[in-house]
Amino acid sequence: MTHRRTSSPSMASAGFPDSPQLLANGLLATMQVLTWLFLRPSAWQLYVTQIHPSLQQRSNFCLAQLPPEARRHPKLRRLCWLEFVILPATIGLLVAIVLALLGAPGRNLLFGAAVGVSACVGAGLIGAMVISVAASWMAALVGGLVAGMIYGLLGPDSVVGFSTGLGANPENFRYVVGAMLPPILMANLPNGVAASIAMNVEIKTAAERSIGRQLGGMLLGLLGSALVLALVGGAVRYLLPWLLWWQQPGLMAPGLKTLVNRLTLGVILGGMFGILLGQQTRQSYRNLPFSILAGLVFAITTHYAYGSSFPGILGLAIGSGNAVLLSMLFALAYNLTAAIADIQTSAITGALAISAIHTVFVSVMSGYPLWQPLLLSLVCLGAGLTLSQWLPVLLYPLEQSWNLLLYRLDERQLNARSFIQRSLDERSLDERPVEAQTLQRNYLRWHSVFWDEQQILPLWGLDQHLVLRMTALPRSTQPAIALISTGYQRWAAREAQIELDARRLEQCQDMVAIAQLHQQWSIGESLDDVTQLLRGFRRLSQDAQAVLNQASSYNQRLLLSHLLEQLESFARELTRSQTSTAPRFRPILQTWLAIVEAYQATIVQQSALSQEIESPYIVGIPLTQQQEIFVGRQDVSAQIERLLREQRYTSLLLYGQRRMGKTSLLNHLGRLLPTQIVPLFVDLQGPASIARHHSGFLYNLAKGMIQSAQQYRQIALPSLPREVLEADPFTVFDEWLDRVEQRIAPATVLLMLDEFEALNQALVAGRFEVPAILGMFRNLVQHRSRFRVLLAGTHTLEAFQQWSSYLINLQVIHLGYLNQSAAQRLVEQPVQNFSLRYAPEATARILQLTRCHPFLIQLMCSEVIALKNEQPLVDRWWVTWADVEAAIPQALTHGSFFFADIAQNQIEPEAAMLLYQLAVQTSASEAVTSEPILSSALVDRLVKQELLELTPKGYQFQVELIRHWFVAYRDNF
Amino acid sequence: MPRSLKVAPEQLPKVHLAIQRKGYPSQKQFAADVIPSLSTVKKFLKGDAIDYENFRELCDKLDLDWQEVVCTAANNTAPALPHPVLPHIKLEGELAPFNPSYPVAYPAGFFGRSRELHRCFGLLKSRPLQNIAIIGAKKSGKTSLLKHLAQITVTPSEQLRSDQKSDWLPNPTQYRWIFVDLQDPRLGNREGLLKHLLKAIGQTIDTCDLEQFMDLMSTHLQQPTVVLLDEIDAVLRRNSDLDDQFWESLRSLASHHSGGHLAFVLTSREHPTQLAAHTGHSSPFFNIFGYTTILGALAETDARTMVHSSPLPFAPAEIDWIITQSECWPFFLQLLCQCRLEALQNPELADTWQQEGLEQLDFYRQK
Repeated sequence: MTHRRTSSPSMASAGFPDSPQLLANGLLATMQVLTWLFLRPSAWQLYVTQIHPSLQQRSNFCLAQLPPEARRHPKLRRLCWLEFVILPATIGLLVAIVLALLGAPGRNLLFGAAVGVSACVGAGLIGAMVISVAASWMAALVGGLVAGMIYGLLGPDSVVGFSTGLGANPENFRYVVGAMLPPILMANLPNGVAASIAMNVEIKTAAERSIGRQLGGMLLGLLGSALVLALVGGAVRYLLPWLLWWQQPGLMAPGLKTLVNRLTLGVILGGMFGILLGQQTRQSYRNLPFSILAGLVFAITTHYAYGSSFPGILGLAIGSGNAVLLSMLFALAYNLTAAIADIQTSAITGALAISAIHTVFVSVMSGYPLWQPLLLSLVCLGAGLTLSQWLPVLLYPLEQSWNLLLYRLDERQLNARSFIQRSLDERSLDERPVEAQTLQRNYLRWHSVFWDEQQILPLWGLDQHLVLRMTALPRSTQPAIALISTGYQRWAAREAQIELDARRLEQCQDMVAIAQLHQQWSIGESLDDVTQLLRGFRRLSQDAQAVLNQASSYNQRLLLSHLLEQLESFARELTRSQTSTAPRFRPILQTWLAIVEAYQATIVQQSALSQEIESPYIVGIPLTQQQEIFVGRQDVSAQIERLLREQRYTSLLLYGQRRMGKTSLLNHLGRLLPTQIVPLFVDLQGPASIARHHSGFLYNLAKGMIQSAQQYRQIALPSLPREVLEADPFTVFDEWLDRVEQRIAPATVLLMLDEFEALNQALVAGRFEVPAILGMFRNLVQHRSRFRVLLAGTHTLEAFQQWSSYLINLQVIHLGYLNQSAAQRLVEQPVQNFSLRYAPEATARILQLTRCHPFLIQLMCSEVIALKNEQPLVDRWWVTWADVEAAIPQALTHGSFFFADIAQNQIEPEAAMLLYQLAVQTSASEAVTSEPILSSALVDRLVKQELLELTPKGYQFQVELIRHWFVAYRDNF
Repeated sequence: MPRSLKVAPEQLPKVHLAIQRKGYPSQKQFAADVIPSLSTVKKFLKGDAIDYENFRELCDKLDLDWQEVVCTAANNTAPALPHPVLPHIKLEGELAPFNPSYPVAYPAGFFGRSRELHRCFGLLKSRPLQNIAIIGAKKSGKTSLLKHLAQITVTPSEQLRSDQKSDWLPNPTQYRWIFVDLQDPRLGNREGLLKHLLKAIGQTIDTCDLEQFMDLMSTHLQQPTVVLLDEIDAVLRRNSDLDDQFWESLRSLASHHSGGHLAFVLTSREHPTQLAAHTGHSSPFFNIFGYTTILGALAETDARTMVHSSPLPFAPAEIDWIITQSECWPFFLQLLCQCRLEALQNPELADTWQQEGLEQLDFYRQK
């Protein structure tokens, strides 16, 4: 047990004083000291530490060792006063009362009381001076009581005194008792108890208390006592006859001889005392002459007192004589051993040596066989030495009953309190003022754990009591737990702490509570099972915190699944675990698991709700065959199909405004046309037109054809390497086409040349020869029955005269706006399972604004989605007319390239100005008919360019959104 | 091992970041904490050579692995062209918390524009990648936004602010970002630009024409690739061989020959269509930019977040003053914050920083 406690003010405030004080009443104070020594050595240690700091290390001190300032300390003086005056007086009184109760005669009463008092004083004084103050208290108490009671019972007439026991009649029981019992009891019991107490107050660490160490001490003690015995025996056998020459018969009168004997003994005892005193005080035996003198005075006094017939005087002499003699023997053995061994060994040696000497002495003197006194000695000594072992067992039933009573009281009090608190105060326990917590009667304070620290048996119910109080009054109970956790009952503190931790974990009923738990929950570094387990919970709490710290729900979900894994693996671990606490924590973990799962479900649900609408729209780049967002155009593809069926229409021209979806349509023709037609797509803006030679052009043309044959119809056309072309490009290309035709048969090839204007630029720039290139195309369509050509661009061939002379009978297909139903599908159902819903008037507004222009519908709809994504969840899935209106300015800004291209690249500045004027003058419902503007040829061109149209009301913008742009972005043209 | 060492230029941002992360408000404070002198520290932070011992000491203090940041023979050879794949960070000056002189070089220093980021990444996160135009006045933060686009998704979260979203793209590491500073004369011509782009996709050739370029690009574009064309007006304004044909090729590449893997993000001070028309281009290239965003001032909350990011806190009144004067334009915010921060570090400027800030503001406004 570690008695060195760290005391804190909170401990004192909680009712556990850290510096014990003696009660004012002398009798009570004496009882208090005795209780300390028997049951609570730590209180003794703390008390003596107040006398002098050095005593903290050595609470088993004797008076001789004390420095002068400590000797004058009032607390020490009080202690001495209690021991040397109050204690003997009490014992005397007690002996007298008990004897009176037992019906002993008056002489016996006086005699017994006198023996008790003097034995008490004698043992106390000698012990306190040179052995140990703590031990001397015990020696005085037990010695006084035992001697007083025995001699009191025997009476002054039956005295077998120190010198009169010789030659007693073994047949007489009283004499047997008188001869054997007093010396042995007086020698063994007090000394055993004293030794035990000396050990108790001195021993501080658990290591010192170990059985091995005690056994070692015992062994050393036996050896020591054997040595002492041998020395004394030798002295008695050889030295004594020589020294005590006057013992020879006839040399002296018996009375004188006894006096000389006693004087000699007095001198020896005085001398020994002086030596011991000198040794302890380190004052080089200055006291020796005084000690010897005191010994002589004591011997003479005793000698004459023995002669007294007054029972009181006789009793004083007998009591003090025996006590001094026995104490001195103990002191001798104790101090001899203490010089070389530790306190345990010394105490045992002292007790054993004195008992051995006494036993032999009694045996010799009384004439009994040795085993009889030896047996008695051993019993007494054993009982004394093992005091701290059997006393707790003896006290255990009492303590348990007492503790149970306290528990019930506390329970009743706290139940009543919590009822009141619940009705008055909803705040948490920790928030309540400290006073409210400490005002309660602290029954726990009187629990035996706080006054019997020697109790090694588990005090069942202590853990429950701690939990009870901790739950209600955490602040005031915390120090109690700290205190208990240093003693034998630390299991209770541990169990209580575990239970409290478990309850704390149980209290976490949502994710936030779990996440916050670790912040005010510190767990030690210990490696034991429970700490590991709690640390596991703590880690989970930290992980939960990490989850909550995530801003994005995606990351939260990621970490949550990690947390769930951790929880599950921890649950499995708990199932496998052998520890006794695992069953307590398993249900808690299950609860946590349920909480986290519920949270995960909420998050998933929330994220489904908060999920953004993904825009399926692809603005600005042509749609490929894979993109399901392509809608409508069945009419155009049907037209193309029809034209292709007729042999006479060998070449087609698909034209439409920029971004009307020409290329997207070409990309999707593979899907829209029957498989007898193989569409081969070549982008003339691409590598073909940028080639520097004819061979490069043809190579890239072939390359494009090969790629799209593979892509649209999974047909592998023969390859055409560049090197092969270089020698004679057109011939080689022609031969290659032959092979292509064979490969394709019986299907028809539709060679789709996108952005043919780019090739025209190359022709204009003179990079390619017009007759060669265009001639090749003419040849292709005229002489190859399986080939058709489709040109796609923003122009009709009016502007490209040379083309029309080569591509005769060119059929023109106009690609205009989407039809209403396709446009509506593009708005409302661009992809499958599209989650956004449009109000009918919203769709109508989009169609009206865009006139079903595919690019503009996509532009508007992506803006609507961006807008909706910023709206709260409740509004997110439903597009209203107002949403569409709000998206207009955004669409004009974000789609500015489309509009600026019209104003900058497609029309002349004056046309742009005209459009601007028209735009500001008109609204969607009105048209402008004012002559000055409309008479110009510009208007015709704008009509042709599909920017304006003539309605019955007059000219107006074909596309309302374009009109909006011209109004809003005057500065851009 | 040479006796004197210097920080590799590409590691400089990391070193500067380390100083901030260690909580040093200034170089001076940092220098006060280490044995080497302030001038040595300055040299170190500039990327100049300093003594081996000092180099080790400074790196240790900043918890940097000195072998990682040191300029070795391997990374010492200055590239002839800026590194094409990752944005090249100019670091002639020091990387202070507020540095109006340079585009924001690390994502943690980038504030606001969340709506733009949202739209841009929405267009870039799935095939086909769509093209984006960022238009804004001079110093409106175009280049910073461009660099941020390239960096944010691959920056480790510990190098970001806690509230910064970075999970914009499903597989950010698959993306290849090609930064093209069109103000760089080496990139302002066809040959240089084509080579630069090809190098970025791992193709190095000596001479290159458009046809070859298209061929190589269409063959090797197997991962999402975003070409960041910074300051396109620089080449549209001057007579460059980047003609219509060139732009049309790029358009064709993006539309037909990249499998939807290629997107362009351009920045420009003026509307490129307008510029193209002014300079005689009629380019339909710009027609493929379905999303155009015009950068304005920051939202006030974002502006305040930026000001609050100062290592030394500003007084509320000062913050309000900065917000008002800058009108939340990122450059002006940086400028005023820099003035304030310097004044906090040098008490002798305490009375004049506002005056000085306003003068600088006027100077740039006039420009």
